[in-house]
Amino acid sequence: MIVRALGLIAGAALVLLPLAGVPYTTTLLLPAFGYAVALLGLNLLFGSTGLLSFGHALFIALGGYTAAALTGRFGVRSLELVLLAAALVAALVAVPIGLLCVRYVKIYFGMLTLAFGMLFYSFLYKFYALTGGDEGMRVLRPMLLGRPLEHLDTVAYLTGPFYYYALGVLVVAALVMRRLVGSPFGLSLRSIRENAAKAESLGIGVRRCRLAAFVVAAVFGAIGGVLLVVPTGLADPLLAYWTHSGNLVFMLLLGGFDHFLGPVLGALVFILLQDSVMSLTSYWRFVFGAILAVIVIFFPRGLMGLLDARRAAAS
Amino acid sequence: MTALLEATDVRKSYGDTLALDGVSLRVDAGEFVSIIGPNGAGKTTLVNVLTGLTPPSSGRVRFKGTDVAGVGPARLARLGMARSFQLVTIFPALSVADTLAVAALSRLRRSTRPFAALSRDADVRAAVDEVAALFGLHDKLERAARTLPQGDKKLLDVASAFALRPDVILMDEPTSGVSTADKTTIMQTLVHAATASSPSTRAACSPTPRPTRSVPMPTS
Repeated sequence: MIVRALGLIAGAALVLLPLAGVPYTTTLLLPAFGYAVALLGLNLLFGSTGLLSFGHALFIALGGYTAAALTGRFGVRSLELVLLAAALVAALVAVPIGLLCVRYVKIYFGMLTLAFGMLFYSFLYKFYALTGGDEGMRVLRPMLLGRPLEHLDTVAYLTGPFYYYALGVLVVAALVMRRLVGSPFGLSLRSIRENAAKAESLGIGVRRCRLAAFVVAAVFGAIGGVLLVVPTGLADPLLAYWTHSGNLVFMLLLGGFDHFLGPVLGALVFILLQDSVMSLTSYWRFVFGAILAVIVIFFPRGLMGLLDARRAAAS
Repeated sequence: MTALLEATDVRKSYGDTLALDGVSLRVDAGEFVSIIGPNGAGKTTLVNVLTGLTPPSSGRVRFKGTDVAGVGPARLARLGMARSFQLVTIFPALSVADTLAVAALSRLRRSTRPFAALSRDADVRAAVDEVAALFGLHDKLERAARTLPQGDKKLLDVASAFALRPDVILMDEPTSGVSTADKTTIMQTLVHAATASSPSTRAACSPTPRPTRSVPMPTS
């Protein structure tokens, strides 16, 4: 009840924000939308399937670089096409990586995903001719729904049409994910998380389901990655760096991984918190470390767990 | 007529330890077979080999006439061979209804449907209700499995195997790990459920009431 009411208020606030005349806050939220999409996918892997990836930033970077390559090198400016291409590229890359990773669970899965993430980071960093090395690649402003919107300056573009576009992508992503989680496939994933041997004895193809979750998570990650690089106009290797993957896990724990909307809340709060703490102290990483410790020790179900205490008592 | 389940001279060794020393077993439709033997005789190993969880070192296992070698437990379960475990094996955080739904979906070949709404699947709902009623779990459908009393957890473990509507169900010590007071009730529920539901054959690794025959484990 409370969660639903707060959710409606938050949703309304997000829709009305661009009209409030606070462009700084409005642009600030844009990365939160990208992260939220990526985290919805990551949470299918972690919250539903029980596999914690420490290399999910790989797919964010993949989305970002796909956007850069298409808009900058190949002159494809339609954001719909860019999103579609990013999803396809992510799926193609995720299948072979996933085939290797889902043979393992727990820390071994985590370390292997971390390894692939770092491998991709090195690739982006070293293959200068292809990726621009540490300078990264420029992402040109894409057209939205076929409209070039060239009359708008960057701030007006980002706080207006692009804001709503990104919010729309997030809403669609959340609806798709909700459908997935409530489907037989979603239940199969949860049964694997709870007891893989038992799931297998009941006829669930454990590895195939894990692989499917991995690929879906990758696709969501790449779509989130596209949304992340449009506001900054740049895809750089740090997108794939392991600390970026670590931030994703932080956001997930912050929001709460056992609630469907936990990832979205985590992304929003993380971005707002990062902005306010960074403006207060240069030791913001210290503050974030302390927050993470407090969450893990005292609020393992994250912020959503706090809001939704009733459900916690029931289960 | 081909046997439903047939093991021929199955051996299984772990390093120097010989767990199964030439077990042969034939189970036909309609039988209720007890596999008996002292601790360490290899009963659980036999179940693991029969269900494809571990491959035998030598010998072969045929299920409905086909060799189960390399088929794997998931596909065997879909082909009609179900098992329950010696130690209570459940999905701790899933509700009773969801646990049974996993098996029902697997039987209906719907486990991987990504966009269907599970809550609106009438077939699954009916299957869950049916099995839950059979095992006396119908008033606990929404409870998380981990909050059930030990005896009910054991029943849920077996009930989910029954929900596959298998041709053969192998129960590994279906009354182990529950109090002596609960054992009789559980066994009665199991026998009742087995008689009332579809599996044509049941094999249990423990003395059961009214077996059609008992198979002792060969000991070396």
